[in-house]
Amino acid sequence: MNGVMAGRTEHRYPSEAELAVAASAAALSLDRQSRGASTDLKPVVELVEMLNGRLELAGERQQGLLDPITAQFFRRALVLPEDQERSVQAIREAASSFLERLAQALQGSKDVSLPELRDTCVALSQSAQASMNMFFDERPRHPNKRVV
Amino acid sequence: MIRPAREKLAATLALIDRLRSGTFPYPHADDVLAHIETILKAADERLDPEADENYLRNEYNVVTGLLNRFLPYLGFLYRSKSSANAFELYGPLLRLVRELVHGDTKLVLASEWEFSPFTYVGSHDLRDTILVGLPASESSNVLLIPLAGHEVGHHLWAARNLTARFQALMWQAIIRQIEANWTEYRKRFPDDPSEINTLLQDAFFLERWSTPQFLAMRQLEEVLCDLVGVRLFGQAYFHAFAYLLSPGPASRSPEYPPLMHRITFMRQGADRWGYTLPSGYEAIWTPYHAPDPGSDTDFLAAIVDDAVDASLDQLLQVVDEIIPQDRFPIVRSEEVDAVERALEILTPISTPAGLPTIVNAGWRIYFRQDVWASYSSVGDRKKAVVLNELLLKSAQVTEVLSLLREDHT
Repeated sequence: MNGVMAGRTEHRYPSEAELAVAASAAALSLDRQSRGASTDLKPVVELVEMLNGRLELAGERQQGLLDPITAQFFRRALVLPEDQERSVQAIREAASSFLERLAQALQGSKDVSLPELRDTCVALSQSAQASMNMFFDERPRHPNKRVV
Repeated sequence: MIRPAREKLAATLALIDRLRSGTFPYPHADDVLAHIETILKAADERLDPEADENYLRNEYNVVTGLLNRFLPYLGFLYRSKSSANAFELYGPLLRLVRELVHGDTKLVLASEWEFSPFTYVGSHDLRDTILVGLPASESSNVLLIPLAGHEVGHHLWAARNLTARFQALMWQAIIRQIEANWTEYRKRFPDDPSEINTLLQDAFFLERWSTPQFLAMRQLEEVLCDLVGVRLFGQAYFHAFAYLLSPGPASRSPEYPPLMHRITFMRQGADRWGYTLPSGYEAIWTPYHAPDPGSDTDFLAAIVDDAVDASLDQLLQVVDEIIPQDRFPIVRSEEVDAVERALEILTPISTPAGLPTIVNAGWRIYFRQDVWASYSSVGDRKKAVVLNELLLKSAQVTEVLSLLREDHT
């Protein structure tokens, strides 16, 4: 292991493309669990790992700050109290709370609503896709190429 | 809607089968196909007709997104069979990337129909695989191989988890630049909070910075890749870079630092590693002029540029960490001399030399007006072809000798 891999970067920073797929897979897993169709929650474990990575690498937790990309990603997906919709601190707290509820679901807790968690996973997948589109709009396109 | 999603996946999986029926010159192409097939089959399994409608509607878009992502990969693999590829370079390049990135790294080269080398990067599910596309018109040109070094830099960025290392640091660097330009910022965006700490806590205003932060990270990655190219190939990287881009485009891409900044970063890398910049190098470039230097967009871009500039020292340190000198020696001039002497007499090398050494000697010959003057059969028109053949053969000699040494040990 070299110096780059050591230290505070043990979390991996998942891309929007990965998050879009992982969140959708987790949503299906929770959906099947709620219907009693399957008990395989491995996709949820993978999503929790990815989201933890994004959250931990987005800035100092103690300061309650998030970098703009991560703040936007979570803000578009999470439901916040009306008077705190613009608060970065509230976004961070809501994201942490969502991760805690996913962890509870993984432990088989009956206190969490699986359909609610599923819907949030779908919203996260949509948010990741929206981010990809936004960033790719910045990319120069071939001057003679037209797309649908 | 489930039917078209399934049919789109089935059509792509059928295409993969058809591609597989041909023989790939690079064995790793089959691995990439298998990997994409696994991803698409998993997507097909997620199309559960009993699932929640809201979930399914999103999954249809996920499927379309996957096909958008991976269909170009399939085209890439198809074109990797083209005879325009310099197959002789595959072995030496694979050896280099495996030493640099990981011992199991897979590599596929293709001649592509874009006039710029490129690579597909950032896909976790294919992160042990490097796909490098070279312009079809130049894909057998050994002198441009240093540009593949830049593309390998993108994979080093991913493999060494550098987004994780720099994401928060880069945002802090941007914040410092906002603070340094706070008066101007307030003039341009008077509706934003009057205190920067308030701005950082307000998600609405923070969103103004999501695209600049994204672009800053992209720029940082590109700078690292240039530095990797310089570190590995020395002067040859400067020559290849100029061959492709000089005197410089009329406008900039926001994903790259301004061209003259890139040249400055590369020069600082060269200074650090003891390479000499080609004579008159900076003068060959024409800096572009922004059409509207006073726009808000340009103001934000300037803040990003300054934040990237301020991160150069950290990037130089990273390059030293990921390309340690004990394993990847600096290109040595006396070794280049030895290869140059072989090329001078129209012969490939007879003792092994690293790809960077061979390419640097090639560039020396390229610029020498007098070389081969006594060989009447090598006119000016043939010079480039003859040089390229000699370089390809030299790369092959090195590869054969490396293989023999491996067998021996």
